[in-house]
Amino acid sequence: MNNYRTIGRSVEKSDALALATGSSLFTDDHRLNDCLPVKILRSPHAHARIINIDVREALSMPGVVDIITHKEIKKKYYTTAGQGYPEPSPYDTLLFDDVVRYVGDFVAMVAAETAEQAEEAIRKIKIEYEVLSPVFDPEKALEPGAAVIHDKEEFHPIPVPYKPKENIAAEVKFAVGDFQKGLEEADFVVEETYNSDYASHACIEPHVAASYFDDTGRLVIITATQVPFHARRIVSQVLDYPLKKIRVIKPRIGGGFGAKQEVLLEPYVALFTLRTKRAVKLIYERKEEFQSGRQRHPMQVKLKMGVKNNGEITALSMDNLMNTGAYGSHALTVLSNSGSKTLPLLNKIKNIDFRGRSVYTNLPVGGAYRGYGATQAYFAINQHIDMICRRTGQDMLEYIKQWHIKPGETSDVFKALGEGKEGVEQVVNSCKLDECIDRGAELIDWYKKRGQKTETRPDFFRGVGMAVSMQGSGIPMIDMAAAYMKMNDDGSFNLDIGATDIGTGSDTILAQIAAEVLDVETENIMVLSSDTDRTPFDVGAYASSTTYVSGGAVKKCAEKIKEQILNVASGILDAKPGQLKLAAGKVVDTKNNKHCTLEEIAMNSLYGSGLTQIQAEASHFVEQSPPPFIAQFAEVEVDKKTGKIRMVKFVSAVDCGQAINPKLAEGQIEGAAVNGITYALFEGFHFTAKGQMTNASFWDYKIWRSNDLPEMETVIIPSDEKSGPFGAKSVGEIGINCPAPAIANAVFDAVGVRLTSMPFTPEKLYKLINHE
Amino acid sequence: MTGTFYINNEEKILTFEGGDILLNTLRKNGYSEVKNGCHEGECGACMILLDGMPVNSCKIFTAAVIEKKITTVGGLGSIHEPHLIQKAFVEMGAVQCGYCTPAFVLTTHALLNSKPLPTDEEIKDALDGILCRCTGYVKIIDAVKLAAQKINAHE
Amino acid sequence: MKNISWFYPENTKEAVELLQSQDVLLHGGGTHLSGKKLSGYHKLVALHKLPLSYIIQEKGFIRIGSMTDYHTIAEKLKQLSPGHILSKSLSRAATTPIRNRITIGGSLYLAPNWSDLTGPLLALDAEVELEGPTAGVYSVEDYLVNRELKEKTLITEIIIPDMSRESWYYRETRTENDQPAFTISILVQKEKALINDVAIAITGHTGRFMRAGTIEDRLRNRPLGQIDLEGIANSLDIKFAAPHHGSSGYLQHTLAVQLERGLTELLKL
Repeated sequence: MNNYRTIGRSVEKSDALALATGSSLFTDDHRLNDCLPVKILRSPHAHARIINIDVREALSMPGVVDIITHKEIKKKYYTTAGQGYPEPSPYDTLLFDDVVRYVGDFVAMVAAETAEQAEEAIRKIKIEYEVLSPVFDPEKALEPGAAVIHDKEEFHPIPVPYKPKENIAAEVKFAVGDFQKGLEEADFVVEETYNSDYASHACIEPHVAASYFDDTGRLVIITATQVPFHARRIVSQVLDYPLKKIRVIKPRIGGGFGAKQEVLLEPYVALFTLRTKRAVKLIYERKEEFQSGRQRHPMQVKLKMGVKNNGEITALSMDNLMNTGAYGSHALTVLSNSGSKTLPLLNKIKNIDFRGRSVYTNLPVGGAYRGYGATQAYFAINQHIDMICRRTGQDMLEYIKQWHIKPGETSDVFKALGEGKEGVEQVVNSCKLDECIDRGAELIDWYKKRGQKTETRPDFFRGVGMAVSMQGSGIPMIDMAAAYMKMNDDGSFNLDIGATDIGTGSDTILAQIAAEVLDVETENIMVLSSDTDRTPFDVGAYASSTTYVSGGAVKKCAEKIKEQILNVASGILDAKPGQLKLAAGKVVDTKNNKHCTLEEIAMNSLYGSGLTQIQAEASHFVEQSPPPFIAQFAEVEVDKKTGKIRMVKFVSAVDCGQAINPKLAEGQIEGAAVNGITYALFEGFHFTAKGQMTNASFWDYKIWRSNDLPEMETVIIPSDEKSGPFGAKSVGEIGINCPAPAIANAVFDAVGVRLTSMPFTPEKLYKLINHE
Repeated sequence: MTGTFYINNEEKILTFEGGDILLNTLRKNGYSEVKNGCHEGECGACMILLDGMPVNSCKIFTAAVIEKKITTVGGLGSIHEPHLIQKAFVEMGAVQCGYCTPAFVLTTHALLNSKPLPTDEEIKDALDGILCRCTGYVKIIDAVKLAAQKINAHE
Repeated sequence: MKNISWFYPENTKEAVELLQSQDVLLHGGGTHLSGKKLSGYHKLVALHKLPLSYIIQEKGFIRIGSMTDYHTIAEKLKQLSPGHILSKSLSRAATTPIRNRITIGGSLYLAPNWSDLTGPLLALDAEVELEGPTAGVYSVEDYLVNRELKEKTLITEIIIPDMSRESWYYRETRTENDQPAFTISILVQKEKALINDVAIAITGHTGRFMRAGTIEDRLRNRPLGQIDLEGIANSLDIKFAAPHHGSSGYLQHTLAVQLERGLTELLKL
């Protein structure tokens, strides 16, 4: 075992005490002088043209300071997707347009002295709409003659298929081998269509942003974002305002999960501040969060596999139809990931045909969401594996162990499919999926419970199911992160990073990485993160990148600091740097055990003979995206008479490389698992026939509370990922991929019917059981 | 309107409107540890203790609780002198984004006052007023158990 | 919302007087009123200073002051009358912090379709004491259907016969704390193999609430061995409009299943 000082130890999360005592500041907790609240007038129609909009009366209302509509802005297309530049998402969005494309789309915004005054003014804005025919069903949106949702000057900033006239926001195709030939080799074919629904991230802190001019006349934006640097760039781009005059600060933020990888509010508050010269704050209400935030893309997955009687899959075709809603945020990349993050797992399949289409509809807008397309596709793949095993009579665990990707192996899919371009070839270095499967099976008691259909009381049947998945660790050849460090008088260090802690604890684990290199306690590393003026660049918190990519930058940076420390120490100790080593806050001469403390070194460098600041910076990009692996197991009890599913137990066993901080890593899996379970069981959006969401509140849109929890077990199976900092891979997203298929497989085990459409409402299952 | 309130053991005279909600009044007066998550009494981020009982401050008119005793998480302990419950949450890794943590800490306080050694079921039931999307509640429940141990050992 | 005046009466007489003017609303726990646009109302009468928070067990009745909160009722009843249906239902209504605020009076006045109060009170043959123009004691059912009883009146007390009966309570929900699509309250008194008395209340359907009188009749004074529970449960014809929980047909089916299970459990068939 590695003998680390801090890596692999659950050191306390650095901001936890401030959060638990309430002293931490979230965006809305910043008190800004004379701050104007902003309220939004939203479209009541799913699809309409604004013929006329009259704000005169509203402007004359008491307290109203400014109103913005499509008439006030320069038309500049952009994407709200907080991705690298140029974004692989279509530029199909205007701050305000004269066409509204879903119920909840922006029509106008009012800034007033009080929120009540802004609301009053909203009611006085007069609008004349020409209602256009809407389209809600992605399949119908593709039909000739369907209403066209984007038909102006929308464009894609990168050369990928983009056909707005056909309502296609993105299209992805690739083939490996010869699917038809593979199909002919098969003994049987397994074919099924799977559907998943919209889901809200349900961050407890809603989207919120504030802006103001500081004392030097620069525009400061405080925002709940996962992507401060992208936010700065996109605000500058949309408002035609010099980037150098913008500073974006991310304070503590109340959950992200992808929702805040979106530059949603920042341009609006900035625009109001530019116009009024006042501080401005915009907070989404919970209803807006549901209806007008960003959601998981619903996806229809048509999966077909040709299989030999021994279980070998000779051909696979996947045809994914994704509903991106009214705008194409992440429309291409979520779609790509539904193939690229899933198909390499079964890398022995030689003949693959993949097609994906993202389709515009007049419904809420999709976006990044933990799992990012992989979740929707794994729902299909894992049920297919269960079906194959039931057909061939093989044990699902042994089957997966036989066919999943192994260390030293690659997949053609890695190279074939990237993010808006070809992918990157890579070989898997580390994979402990077999151990994950074995440990998980033990905890759920697989071999005792599988296939038993135990009737615990009349009409209540138990079953167990499982599912496996991989994810990635950052986006290879695209994601970049940087770090800066300096040493202080007392031998402590400042670590400034662009990386964005969205509650995951990345500030802490990045400090642990620096502390490990420098062999000091983590508390000696003070982290400042996510301030575009004060910290170096980082793409932000998405694509499971922070530990692997930002962690790589921090490690490099700390190594440079270490080198400088040894150099200064060599002067003090009169020894060659090569014979010196860092040990527990000291530098020791290995030849004679003479030593000096870090404080002595710092003082020497700052005030003594050194007269130099020990400081370093490093940036890091990655050439591969090593996948973490997970096996998740569900035990359910099905009420055969009502179709109700009760979760009895849920087990997750994950290989995330070396867990830098095991408790925080477990926390990622536990949170993702519960999110994935409720997504499977009952989350989902309900709409009226006119596209109005009817469950846009926690009152109607349920997520679990503490008293809904079944027995939960989470284990980390360590592996050593040579390319990662101290052997680490990612852990943020993967835990959400398997609850839905594991539950569906468990339900089949219990009552013999297959749930191919999420959420698994009791009525749906009841009808399946009764062949309705 | 004006009214006297006993907030975190301090007598406070606050000015507010008849229609004002306690959550907003508290935040306006600097108690930013009381969070706004939904304004519909569902998420629980706005939890306070009213005469020692957890309640949603977004579902209470300020005018309805004049003269009452109000406790926010700041009244239990500070970053300089944290309460044992706050320490337990930190130690157990129960704090992720932390937006709901003040509410959980306060509710734990009320629970442990009435049941010093609660069972798992009692913990799960007592915490049912707060939504957390980060943790899956697992480490929060562990933290409550640890807090109970710490407090009982301390007494 | 801005121009709301508050009144804090200290006795019921004062409260009732305040209530007689035009734009007045009573404020119990306030969980329903707060955060809403109270258009047309400019005066709120806070009732918390009235001496109406109590539970008393005396002379064959349990009397609950209208300002008593759900949490207190659930806890007290647990001691006064273990297994009491109202304790079972109110301890699961809403969430812990909301139960600490909801008052039984306010809750009965509003009687929303998802109420965990209405069904048990109907099954219990509870009565409600009113002050105001129509002062008096009325059955809960009368109070719920008779609009005049709600006008300008103040609920002061809920009165429940204190009888020992076995009870069963069911709420149809997606999560533990979900507002129920429907509730079933059953009270039974058995003697050996005979059902002496039975009360069944169902809430949440399009008719809001009902006592299942026909079913009660089919069970009452019957020997346990001669009961066709499945037939009885399926005899109900009730419609639902709770789309987030399921279609009317599905909920109707589920109601029958749960009703049968409840009766089976209570009658130990």
